[in-house]
Amino acid sequence: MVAGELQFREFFAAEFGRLRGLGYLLTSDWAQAEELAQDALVRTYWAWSRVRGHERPAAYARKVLVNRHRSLLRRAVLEARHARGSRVEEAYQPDLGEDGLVLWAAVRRLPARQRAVLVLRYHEDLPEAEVARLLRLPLGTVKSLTHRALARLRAELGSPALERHGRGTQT
Amino acid sequence: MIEQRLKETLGRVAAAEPGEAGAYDRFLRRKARRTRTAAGGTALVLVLLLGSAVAVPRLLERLRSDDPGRRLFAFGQAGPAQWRPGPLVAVAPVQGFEVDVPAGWEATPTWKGFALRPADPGRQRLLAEPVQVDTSYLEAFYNPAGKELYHDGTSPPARGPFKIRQDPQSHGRFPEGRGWFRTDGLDGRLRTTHWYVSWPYHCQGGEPCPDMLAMRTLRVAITVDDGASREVLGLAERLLRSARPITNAVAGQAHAPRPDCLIDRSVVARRSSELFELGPTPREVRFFWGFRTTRYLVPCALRFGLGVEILEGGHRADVRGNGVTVQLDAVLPEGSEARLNKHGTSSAYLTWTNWCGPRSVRLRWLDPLLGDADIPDPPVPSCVDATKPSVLRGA
Repeated sequence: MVAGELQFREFFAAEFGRLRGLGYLLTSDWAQAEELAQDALVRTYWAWSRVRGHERPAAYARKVLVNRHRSLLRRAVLEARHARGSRVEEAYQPDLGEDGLVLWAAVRRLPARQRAVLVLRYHEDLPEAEVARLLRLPLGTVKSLTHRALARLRAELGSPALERHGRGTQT
Repeated sequence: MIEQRLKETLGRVAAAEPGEAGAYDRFLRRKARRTRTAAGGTALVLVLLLGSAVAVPRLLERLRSDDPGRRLFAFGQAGPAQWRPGPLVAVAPVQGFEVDVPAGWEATPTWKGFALRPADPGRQRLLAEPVQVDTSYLEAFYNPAGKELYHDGTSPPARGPFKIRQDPQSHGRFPEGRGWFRTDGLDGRLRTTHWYVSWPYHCQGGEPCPDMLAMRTLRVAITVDDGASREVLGLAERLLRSARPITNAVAGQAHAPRPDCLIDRSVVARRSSELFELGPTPREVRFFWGFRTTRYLVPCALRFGLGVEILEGGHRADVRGNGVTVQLDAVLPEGSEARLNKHGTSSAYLTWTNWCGPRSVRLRWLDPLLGDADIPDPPVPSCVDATKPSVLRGA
């Protein structure tokens, strides 16, 4: 195996989990998250000779993943899926505690762009300007989406309806 | 600060990812597929040379796929999706069925059966959800078994606890005689089809079953882009016609070991504390837990201790049996009250009597399934005899 292949394999081992986690935060679906992560890594692989010289090849893979997610969102079928909410039954439930589950449920109900902005801003720790560049949105729009998403989360976290998503509910 | 909570929660969600076993192999296969798709003309030759590094695992995968004995099991528990390409036999011993997964499709076990999708990533996008193969309750009015039971004009039982989709319905019979029922809904370009055949359930050891178990079905649930619905419906028909009953679907056959029940999946649970008036006085407090099977009728076990702790001034109060647990040992969907109830249910409760101490006590559920938690506005039983101990006991 040539040096580049070995180097990419190390890169894959280091970044696959992180990319799949980002995909899950964007889609709430581990199967879809795996698709996004694999797709991003395949594209990164084909650009490896160019990308490996970058200071942070992981940023390139993340950019590919976010772009891919953005373009998939435009597809009618996937939009319909998001409109219907994610598959709760097959979801791999993380152990978040009651507060965390309520907050995560509220994040999942956000519109896709608001959710993507929050994930990139607060999970990936990206500055607003970088989020704007990744999502190809004006900086003002990113600020506005962030503000609206946080306001919505605050409103939902204070609402009694959200509390009813706790345990012990009926099918 | 909500920003901080959000950051922590997102971090925990992303960190709770399923295992990465096989991820690199899947990457190699995908890379090979992408290579074929992208290549053309002279590039194809180059691709074939480069692809030799990944061709061997792919070839081995295909050879394994040709093994007729290849079986994939689902054991009624949740877990990360690990897809395996067909042809293979998808076996659900807990749910009592096995089906053939055709070539060109891949399957992964779920807690209630199997999920299927095309092996080709391009075609996967036609599915809004992977195709679900599972068992499900279907009311007698619609159920092929119910139609046979009540075809003489007698009235079917009152509607059951679970509702079917309110989509256009049809029913019929496969050439080999198996009756089916189907709902088909169209929402924009998204077609949702649920297709059922009846699937008997035999309680262990010939015990009488709750009525609802006669209405178990094997179900294929599809949500697909309308343009691809013909192909996926073809798959659904092949699955339903090839399905074979095993374990609890065959009279006299042993049941598979039951997994633990999964909250809000294979079991719905509720708990409550109530003050019971026994005449004007005295009053006693009852702590109640109820468990009910869900529409998927996934056999599972409830085996754990349930308790309550009474605290006074930060310490365990002087109550005989304080912190006691009642041991729940029940199976669903049969339920421990199968002869009494039409549904798969189970319950347990504790009773607290004769409390002559201060009313400002704190009560806590000790509950591994729903979680330990304080009981808000804790009820307190009346004082009957201050010379006798307060008692918390199981029932």
